[in-house]
Amino acid sequence: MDHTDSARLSLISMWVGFIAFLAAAIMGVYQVLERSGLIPAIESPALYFASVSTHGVLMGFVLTTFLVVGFGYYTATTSLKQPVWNKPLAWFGFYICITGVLMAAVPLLTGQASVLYTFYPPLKAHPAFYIGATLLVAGSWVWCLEMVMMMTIWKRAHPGDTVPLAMYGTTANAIMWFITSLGVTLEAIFQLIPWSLGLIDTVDVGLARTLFSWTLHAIVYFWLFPAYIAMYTLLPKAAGGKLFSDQMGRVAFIMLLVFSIPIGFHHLYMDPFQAAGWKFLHMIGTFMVAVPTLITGFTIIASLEVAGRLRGGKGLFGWIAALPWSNPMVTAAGLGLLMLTLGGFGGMINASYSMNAMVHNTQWVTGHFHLIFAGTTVIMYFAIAYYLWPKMTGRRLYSNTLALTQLWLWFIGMLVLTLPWHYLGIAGQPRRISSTPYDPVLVQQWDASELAMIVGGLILMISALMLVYVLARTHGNSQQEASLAVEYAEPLHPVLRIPPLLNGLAFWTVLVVVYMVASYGYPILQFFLMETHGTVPWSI
Amino acid sequence: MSQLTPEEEDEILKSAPRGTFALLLLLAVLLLAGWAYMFFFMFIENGPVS
Repeated sequence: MDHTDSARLSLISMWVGFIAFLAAAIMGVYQVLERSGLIPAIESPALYFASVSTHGVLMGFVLTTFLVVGFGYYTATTSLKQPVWNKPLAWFGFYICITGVLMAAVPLLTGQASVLYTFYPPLKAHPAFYIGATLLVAGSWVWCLEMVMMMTIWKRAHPGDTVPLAMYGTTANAIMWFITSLGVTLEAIFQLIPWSLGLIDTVDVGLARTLFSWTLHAIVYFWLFPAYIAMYTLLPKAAGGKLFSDQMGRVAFIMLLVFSIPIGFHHLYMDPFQAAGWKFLHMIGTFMVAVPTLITGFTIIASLEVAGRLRGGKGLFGWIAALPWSNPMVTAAGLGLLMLTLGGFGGMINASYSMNAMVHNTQWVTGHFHLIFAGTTVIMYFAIAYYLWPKMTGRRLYSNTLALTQLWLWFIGMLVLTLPWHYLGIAGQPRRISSTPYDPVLVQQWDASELAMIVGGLILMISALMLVYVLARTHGNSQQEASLAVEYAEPLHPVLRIPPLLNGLAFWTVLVVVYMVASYGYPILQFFLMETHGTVPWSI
Repeated sequence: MSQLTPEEEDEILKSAPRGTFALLLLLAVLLLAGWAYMFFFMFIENGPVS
């Protein structure tokens, strides 16, 4: 079937994401230079915090949302072999997102939303920032509806058939994102927007931070889902093998849907307004959510092992060398899994209730989330782009060599940037600072790490420029792509019959709602029951 | 690309991923050792908050 209708929407969405990404990468270089204090002429806390806020919004909200949406539409149409449901509505959602981004950009770029891309009062931004961000989320809900409708329509047309794994994961992500984004949306509509407009004098900070934590952790999985979907459904074929287990992929997606949302209190370990017992329960949930990642790690590496052995790899680890490392998808996945392991180690420390006190609000945390997000997730976004651009444009990738170089530079730059940040965090350097006006003897010990940070930032910016260059030049490549079909990996053991629970998401959606009520019900309700010392918990 | 006989290919597809098991076991040991090092030698060693 012809996928040109979804290709255009996907391509434009993903281009919006990558343009935001490039701007954010350039800002990142300014930030590491400013923060190092080596060039006094550029030191400006106001500019630094405006830049950090914009960098975070562009990377964490714009790149991700547009990439997830674009990849989702293309996955849906190519895996289900059916057109986009209600195409005008899909474009309407896209324009809502664009409107939201433009609206939020104005206060961000004029220093009126330097709230570090968070929704944590008492930091207050211009109302346009909160309204813009809410519109971005609302636009993405259209995509959620589209994905659910497309899977439902397909299931009705194919009774008893197994939903393709790529679409199963995409729909799980859409449902998860809708549920998790409700938290920050409620906070914005009932607290932040009325407060920033001056309709109310105060907000209950505890309630606001609790609502934001509802969104804050699972948003990471919203970003990560496309990376996992590509690893499960595109990587094994690109590596020359088969997917080790289709069912393991479904179990991992279900677990991400169920376990990733009700665990946000690990972001509030040091905050006083939730009791230790609730935080402990959320800590257990946090460690549970490592399970689908372990399942994914096992299934993907096993799939690569099959591919490597089919290519002649021998011995316990000989299959690794036999893999086609000249394929950007394989290289990105290999480097991404390495960064996931390192970032996962940092995550284990953050998630440990007691040890969190040692690294809380230090540069360690910045190092951790850059490794997981900017490392694993974003490098897989590159791989997705390198795979899909030829399919969507009909032109061959401009340069495979440049693409591979770009991926390796991203990996090297990310390690050079983030490993010193982990050290700095342990050494006591706070995060969210524009300079280090502390004890000179202490600060001097940080100099080498600060220099490494600059080198890492520069390498990453070069890599970002290379990505955009390769993608842009692909559009003008005179060589036609041989096959426009997206080749999804076949499972090692064909899926002949599958339990209904692994072929639908309704039961799991109900389960996550029950789990959410259990883990967030009373912690939110308490703000309406207790004395809040003059603050207004709910403004409307 | 290696030239495998159909029998060899079939054997690969049916065999357990022992390399993956070994790799993940190694990673698990490293992660647990790292966590234990952080807990006992960095966190506990800092002593109580004073």
